[in-house]
Amino acid sequence: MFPFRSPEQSYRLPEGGDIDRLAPLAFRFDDRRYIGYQGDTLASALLANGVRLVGRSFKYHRPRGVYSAGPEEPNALVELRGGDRHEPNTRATTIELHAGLEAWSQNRWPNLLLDIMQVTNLASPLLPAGFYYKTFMGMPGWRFYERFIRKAAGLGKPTSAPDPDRYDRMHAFCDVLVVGAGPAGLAAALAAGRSGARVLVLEEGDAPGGRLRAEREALDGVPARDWVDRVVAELGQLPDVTILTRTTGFGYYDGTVIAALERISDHLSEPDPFSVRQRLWHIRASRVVLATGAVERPLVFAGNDRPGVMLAGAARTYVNRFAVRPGNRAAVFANSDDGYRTALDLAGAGVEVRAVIDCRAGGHGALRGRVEELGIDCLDGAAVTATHGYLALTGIEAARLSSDGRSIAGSPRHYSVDLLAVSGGWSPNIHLQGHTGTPPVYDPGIAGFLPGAGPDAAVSAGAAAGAFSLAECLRQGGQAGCDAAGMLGFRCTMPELPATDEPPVGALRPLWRVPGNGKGFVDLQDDVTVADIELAHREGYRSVEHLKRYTTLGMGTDQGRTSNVNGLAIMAEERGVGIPEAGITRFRPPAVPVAIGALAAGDVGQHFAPKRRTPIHDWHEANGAVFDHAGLWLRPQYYLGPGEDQNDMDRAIAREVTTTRSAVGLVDVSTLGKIDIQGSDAAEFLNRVYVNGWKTLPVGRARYGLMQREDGIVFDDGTTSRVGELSYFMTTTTANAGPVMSHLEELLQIHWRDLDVAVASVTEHWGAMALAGPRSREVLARVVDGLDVSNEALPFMGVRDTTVSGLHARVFRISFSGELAYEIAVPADYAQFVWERVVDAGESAGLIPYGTEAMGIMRIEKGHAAGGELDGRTTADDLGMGRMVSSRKFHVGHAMSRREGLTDPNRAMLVGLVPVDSVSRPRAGSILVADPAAQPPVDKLGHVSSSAWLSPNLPHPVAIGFVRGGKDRIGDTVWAMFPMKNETIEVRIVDPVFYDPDGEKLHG
Amino acid sequence: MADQGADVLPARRSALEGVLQPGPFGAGDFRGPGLALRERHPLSLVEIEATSRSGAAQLCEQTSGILGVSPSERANVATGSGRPRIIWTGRWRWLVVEPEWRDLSAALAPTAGIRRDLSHGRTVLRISGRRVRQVLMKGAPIDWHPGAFGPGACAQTLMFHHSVLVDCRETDRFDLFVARGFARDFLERLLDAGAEYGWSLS
Repeated sequence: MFPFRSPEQSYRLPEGGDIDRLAPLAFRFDDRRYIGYQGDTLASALLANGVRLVGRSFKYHRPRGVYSAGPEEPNALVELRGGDRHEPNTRATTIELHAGLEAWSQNRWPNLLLDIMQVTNLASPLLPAGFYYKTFMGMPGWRFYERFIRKAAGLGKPTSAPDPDRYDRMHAFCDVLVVGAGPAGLAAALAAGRSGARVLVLEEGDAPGGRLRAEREALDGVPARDWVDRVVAELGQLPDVTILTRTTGFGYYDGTVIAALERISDHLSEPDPFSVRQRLWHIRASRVVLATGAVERPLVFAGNDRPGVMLAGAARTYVNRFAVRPGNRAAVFANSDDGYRTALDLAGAGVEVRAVIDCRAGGHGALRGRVEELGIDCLDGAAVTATHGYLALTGIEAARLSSDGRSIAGSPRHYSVDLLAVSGGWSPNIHLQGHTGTPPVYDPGIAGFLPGAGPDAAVSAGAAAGAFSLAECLRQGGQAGCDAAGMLGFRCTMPELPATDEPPVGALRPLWRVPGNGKGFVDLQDDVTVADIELAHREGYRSVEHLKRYTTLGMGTDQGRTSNVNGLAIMAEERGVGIPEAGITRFRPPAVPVAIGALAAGDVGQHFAPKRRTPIHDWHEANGAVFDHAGLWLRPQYYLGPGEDQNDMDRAIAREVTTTRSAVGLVDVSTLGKIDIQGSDAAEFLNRVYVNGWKTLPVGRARYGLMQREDGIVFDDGTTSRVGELSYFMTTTTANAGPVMSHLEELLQIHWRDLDVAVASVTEHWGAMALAGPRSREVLARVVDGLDVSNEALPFMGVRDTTVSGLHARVFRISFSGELAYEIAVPADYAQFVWERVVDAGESAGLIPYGTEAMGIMRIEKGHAAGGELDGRTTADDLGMGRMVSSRKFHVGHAMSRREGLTDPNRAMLVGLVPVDSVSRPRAGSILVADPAAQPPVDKLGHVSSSAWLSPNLPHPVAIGFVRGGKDRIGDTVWAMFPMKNETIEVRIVDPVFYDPDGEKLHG
Repeated sequence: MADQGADVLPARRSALEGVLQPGPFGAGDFRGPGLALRERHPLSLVEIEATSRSGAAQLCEQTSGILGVSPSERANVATGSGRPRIIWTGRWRWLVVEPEWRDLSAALAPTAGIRRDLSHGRTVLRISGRRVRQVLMKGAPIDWHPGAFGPGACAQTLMFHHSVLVDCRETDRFDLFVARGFARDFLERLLDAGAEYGWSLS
C-alpha cells in the first residue's frame, strides 16, 4: 500500500502559473476534500483536481462545468461557506481559494450526479419560454403552484441567520479614476499619476495585470508580468496614487459618482477580528478612464453547454495563470485568430490539441502556420455541429458550413476530446458607460457594441473601447490617462510604452448560431436556447427588452455578459434587421451582484437610525423608565416601580396621572424644539410667522402661538417667550423641531431678507422639565434661589431667569397638562443635577416622574391639540382656535387659509368623544359614521384623532376627534369604526375639554 | 428657598459620562493604535452672528479686540490656537470655542452682534492618529485629502447620519462637534468605523 493516494491535482502542470506551490490549501466541495494552491480560484482548483461537473442548470437541470475564468461565469455558481456565513450563487471563478473553504453545488437533489429534477430536461420540449406563466397564471390556485415552481427552477438557498460580518462605506475623491488595472488601465494610471494628479485605480482581481496575467505575451522581450510589476512598483511610490484591488466598480451615477465594492475579507474564511468583510465606495472623480476590458462571447451550437466546453480565453487563463490543464484532449472552435492562439497555449501546456475549427474560410493571421506545424487539424469554414457526453464532454462533431453559414455543407468529422475551447469574439465591458445613459454603438469590425460618446468626464480605453491588440490597449490607456490629467491642468507627457510581440491577426467572422438540431444555448445561466428566441419572435416579442423579460435572456448573476450580444443578434436575424436596429438592452447598476449588507454599510440594527438621548436619560434609565421612540428621541413612556413589569403598564400610567393631578409630577420635556430668535425685527418676524399677534408681548412673558403653513393648514404650535428686549425663546413640538427651524430659515434667507433677525436652534443646549400638579408651586419654591413664585409675582405665562443651586435656570409658568405647572430649563450638562434636586425637593409633596403616556392622557383630558390633531390636514377653525387668528395683520398662510375648502362650515371640527357603554376604547384613527350597518361607500363624518384608553380621573375612556358639525352636535351619538380590527363602538359627542374646563387649576 | 449655597457649582455632566471608557478599543497593531480619541469637556461655546455685512465687519473687529483672534471672513475657515478657536459656521456667523474658564458670553457682551450660548449643546470629540483621515472618509462625503482639507479648514456635514461640525486642528488631528443628544450614538458609530485601525481612548 502507498502511504497516501495522490491523484490530487492530477491536472496541475508541473511548473509555471501565478500560484504558490509552497502554500497548499485544503478545501471541500460537495463535502469532498481537495487540495489547491494559494493563488487559485475555486474553479481553477476544482479543474486541477479533475472536477468537471460543478452545477446543474437553472431550468433544465443539465450538468454544467466551469465555463469562464471571471465574473461573467454563467455555470459554476456555488453555495459558499457554512453556518451564518452561508452564501448562495457565488461564482467559483472569482472565489479566491483559502484554507478550509467549503462550497457546495446548488440546484440539485439529492446530489450533483443524480439530480432528480433532470427529468425537466427530458420534458424540455414541453417547457418553452414562458411555460409556467402561460400554463399556470390565471388558473385557480396559482399561489399554490407558485411555491413548487419557484422551488424547481432556481438557484441556491440563502441562510436566514443574521449576517455576522461588518460592512462599511468609504467616500473618496480623486482627479482621475481608472477602472480596471489591465494593460490599458495601468498605462492610464502611470500617465496620470506621473503628472501629479490624484489617481485612484480599481482592480477587480486580487492583483493588477488583467489579461496580462492570463496570456503568454512579452513586453520589451520580457514576460508582460514583469512590466506589470514595474508599473505597480512605480505607482506605489507616487504619494497620490492608490490602487484598490478586489474592488469592482459597479455603478456610474450622475455627477461622476462611481460606486464600487471592495471585497476586503472574502478571500479569507472569515474576516479578521474588527475587520470589514466588504466595503462600499462612493467615489467622486473629476475624470474617469474606463479600462474595464472585454468579455469573450461563446459560439452557439447544439450541445454547447456540456461540462468541458469552455471559453477559449478562459482555457488560456487556466493554463497560463493557474498552471491547470482544463482537459487532456482538446479542440478549439473559433471565429477569429484567438482559436490558433488558444491551440498553441494548450499545446504548450501538454494538452493534446486535435483540431482547430475556424468558421472563417480564409483570412487567417500568422499563428495559423504555427498550429499546422504542430500537426493539428485546421478546419476552415467549419463549425462544431454536435457534442457528445453527458456528465462530461467526450467528443464533438465538426462539419463544413455553407458559405452563408446558414446550413451544413459537409459530412461531420468526429473528434474524441474532453475540452472544447470556444471563442466568438469579444464584447467590450461597457456597463459603466451604459449607466450614464449614452447609447452603445455597434461596431461590425468586432461584431460587438462600443461605448457611446459621453459623458464628458469619462473615456473608455483599451479592450473596453474595442481595442483588442495589446499595443493599442497600452497606447489608448496612456493617452486616456494623459488627456484626463491634462484637462485638469496637470502637465502630462505620454509615458514610453513597451514593445509588444503580437503577430498580425485576421478579421473575425460573426457567426451567431450554428445551424443544426439539438439545444444550442445562448444564455447558459438562464437556460435560454436559440429555439426560445425564435419562439419569442414568433409570438411577437421583437424588442430586445421584451425578449429579455419573456425568455429571461441576460438576467441572473452574470446579467448576460456572455449571452446578450448573441441573443440580440439572433433576434435581429429573425426579424431580418441589422443589429443596430435590434438594439441592446438598457444597462442599469449594479453591473455585478452586490450584497444588500454592503449597501446598508453598517446602518443596521441599533444603528439603522441615529438615537437621540435627553440630558436626563441616565436618570430615567436608572429609575425604571420604559422608553418610547419620539422621532429619533428616546423618551420615558412610563416608569415601572420596584417589582413591576410590563404587565403593570396600566397601573404605572394611572399612578402617574393620578399623582400629578392630585399632588405633583415631573416630566422630561428636553425634546421640545427650542429656537433662539434675536434682532430688532424679532417681534415683526413672530407676527408674520404665527397667526396671532406678537407686538405687545412684554419681556418676561410667554404666549401660545399657532403657526400655519403657506397653504393655510396648521403647521405647529408652542409657546414663545420674550426673554430680552430683542430676544425671544421659541418652543416647538418635539416632532416639528427640525421642520419649524427649516421653515424659519427659509423665510429669513429667501423671503424676508430685509428683516434684522437671526434664528438658531438651541434645543440641545437646554435640558427642560415640566413640574405639574397642585403642589408644583411649593416644590418649585424649594428649588429656586430666592425667586418669588407666588401667583402674583409669577402669574400664568410668566417667565423668569433665576438660579437653581447657583446655576442659571429659566422658569416658565406654562402648562400642557392643564394643571398648575412650571417648566424649568437649565443648561444641559446640569439638567440631571437639577432634575435630581427637584425630585428630592418634591419627595415630601409626593412627587413622581411621569412619562409620555401620562402626559398624553392629561392633554387629551384637557382637549389640547397635539400630533394627532396637527396632522397636516386641519385648520385653526377645525381645532377650535379660529378666534386666535388675527385678521388685522399678514402672516404665513393668511391668504390661503381663506380658500373655499378651508372655510367650508361643513368641515369636521374638534370635539370630545366618549364611549356610550363607558368601557369600550375607541382607537385613534377610527372613522366616525352615522350608521355602522351602512354598505360602502359610507359617508364619513370625521375621525378619532387621539384616544386615552385609561383616564383615571374619569369613569370612562376619552378621545378627541373631528366631526362634521363640531360642537353643534354635542350630545349626539355616532359610531367609531376601525375595520382593520373589526371594531365598532358607539360614541357620544361631548366638549373636548374633559378636565377643569374653566382653567381654575391653571390660573390658581 | 434654596437650601444650598451657590458657592460651589456642581461639575458639568458630559453626555458621554459612563460611556467613554479609557483604554484600547478595536484591533491591535504593532505600530500602536491607528487612532486616538478623547472628549474635550467642559468647553465654552458661544455662537456670534451679525445680520448685515457691515455688522459682520464690526463684529469681527470687536471680537478680535476682545479675544485676540480674528474670525475668518472666508467660508469654512477656523482661526485661533484654541484659546479661543473661532470657527466659521455660516455667513456672518461663527462659533467661539475655548475650555471653560470664564463666562465667555459675558466676555463678548461688548460686541454689537448677536450672541447665543451653546456650551452645553455640543459634545466635542478630538480624534487624531495616522488613520484619522480614513475614519473620516468612512463618515462623510468630503474630500479629506490634506491638500483639500488641511489645518484651519472646517465644515458642517453629515457624518454617519449625524450633523457634525468638523474642525481640522492639525494635519492628523480633528475636533468633531456633534449635538449633545446624539453624542452617544455618534461615538458608537465612530468607534465602530475605526475599530479595524484600533483606538486609544482617553
